Amino acid sequence: MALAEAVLATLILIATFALLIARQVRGAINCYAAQSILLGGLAIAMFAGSRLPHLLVLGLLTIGIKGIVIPAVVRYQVRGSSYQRREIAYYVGFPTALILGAGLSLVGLVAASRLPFHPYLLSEPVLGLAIAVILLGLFTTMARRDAVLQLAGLLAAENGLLLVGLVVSPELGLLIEFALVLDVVIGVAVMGFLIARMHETVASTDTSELSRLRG
Amino acid sequence: MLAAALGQCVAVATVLLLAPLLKGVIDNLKAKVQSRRGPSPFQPYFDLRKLFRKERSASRDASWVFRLAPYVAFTAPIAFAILIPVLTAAPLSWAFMADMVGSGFVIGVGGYFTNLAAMDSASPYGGLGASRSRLVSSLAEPTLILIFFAIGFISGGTVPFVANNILYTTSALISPSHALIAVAFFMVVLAEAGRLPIDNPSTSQELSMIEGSRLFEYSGPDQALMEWGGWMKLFVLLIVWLNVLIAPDGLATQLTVSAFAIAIASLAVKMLCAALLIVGVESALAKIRILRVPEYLGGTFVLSFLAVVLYSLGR
Repeated sequence: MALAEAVLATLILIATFALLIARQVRGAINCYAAQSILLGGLAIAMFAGSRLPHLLVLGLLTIGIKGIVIPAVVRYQVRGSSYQRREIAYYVGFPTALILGAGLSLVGLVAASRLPFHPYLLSEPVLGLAIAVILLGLFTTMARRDAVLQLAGLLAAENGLLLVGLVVSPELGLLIEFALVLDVVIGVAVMGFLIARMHETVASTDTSELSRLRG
Repeated sequence: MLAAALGQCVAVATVLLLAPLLKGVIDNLKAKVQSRRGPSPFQPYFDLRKLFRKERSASRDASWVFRLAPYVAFTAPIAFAILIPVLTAAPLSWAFMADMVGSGFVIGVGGYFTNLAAMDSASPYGGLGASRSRLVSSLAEPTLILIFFAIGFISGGTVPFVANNILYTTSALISPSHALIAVAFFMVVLAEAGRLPIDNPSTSQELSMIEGSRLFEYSGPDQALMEWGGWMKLFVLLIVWLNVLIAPDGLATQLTVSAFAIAIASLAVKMLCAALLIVGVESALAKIRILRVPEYLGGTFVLSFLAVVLYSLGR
């Protein structure tokens, strides 16, 4: 495994941690964009090492769609500078989230070390990082009350899944990868539309507001 | 023997003379990012010359600690520079006096005396800065210890020269746990050297200061020594980050003039890259509230913890 791939995989985990402790909607969207761009960079670095052309396509698609288009769409849907910079509401406090996040990463790393694994292009530690990214993304979805943060957590977990895919079977067909990326676009379109409606109606994207009935 | 001693002197002189330049370059580049012309990169040298010519004054109630502290704060980074690979990959004569924990202690002594002196003069701002800097350092401590553990794990030794040699020659340099250590250590360096996002080095608001408020009572040569010591602290910590952890290239392996010239040139290039990185961080981030400092340093702790776990799982 080359230097660039180890560093990029590690930075993906760090970006996911940054998403977990992001306090503003804007910061969370930027963390997701950074994570996606790093993931695309990782795929391109793998292309440079292996010459599998679909890795290049995947990397460019990831950077273009997940790193640029999706963050722009979400930013547009929750536009309004005071909203983007407001501190978000949460179920789990930030120091606690950090400690639980460390525990979840530990689970991911240990789980990966127990799995039967045949290193192909990336080494075993990256599998552990990828599982940790999935768990951290899902935990973000649970720990935050804001719908945008929940969306970002889900998307981050999806990036982790893609990373697992890159570790386990980098020769996955291009068609499947296309389907994956387009799926995410449609998912974001639907969820983003709902968030935008919520933002318009309740003037907030705090999901705990949804439990109250409004006449 | 004589050559080794000379080499050591050159390393110390490099730290002494280039540390103000690093500060000047960072200030200049930061101003450029903000569309200002900015001070000349050599401004810190002019400042030092001005301060050394001025009169020294101290509070009537200040004790000997206050007068001693500038010398300690100035010599601690110099002593630290002897222990780390500044220019040479091969250990020089005094390199085995202390390992990483010991060198951490040496650099800590400087901060300790600065804090004592800040409280000694009984200025309210000094006490505030001292207590805050203790908060930052005590929270950075667990991270540093874990980083030393991880480096000790990977290289089988905690003397900085040994760690540098082993990291350079094995494939440990490209493992994710090593990358985690590098990121965590850089974040700790920013916190320890009083840079953003923990402390704003260019602020003029006393109530938000950490480093700056500790130097309020000093004037003339004492202030010059204190500030020079602070610049050298950033410089030597960055050297550890660059030469031990991420880019050990360019270090001299033989004690010849040409090898040292290459080592100094490569150090200058690496420092310029580090300065650009710091300028980027400081332009992009705002200072975080003091109550969130534990979260920042807790984050570094989590990263170094994961590094140790990753490394021990991979074996």
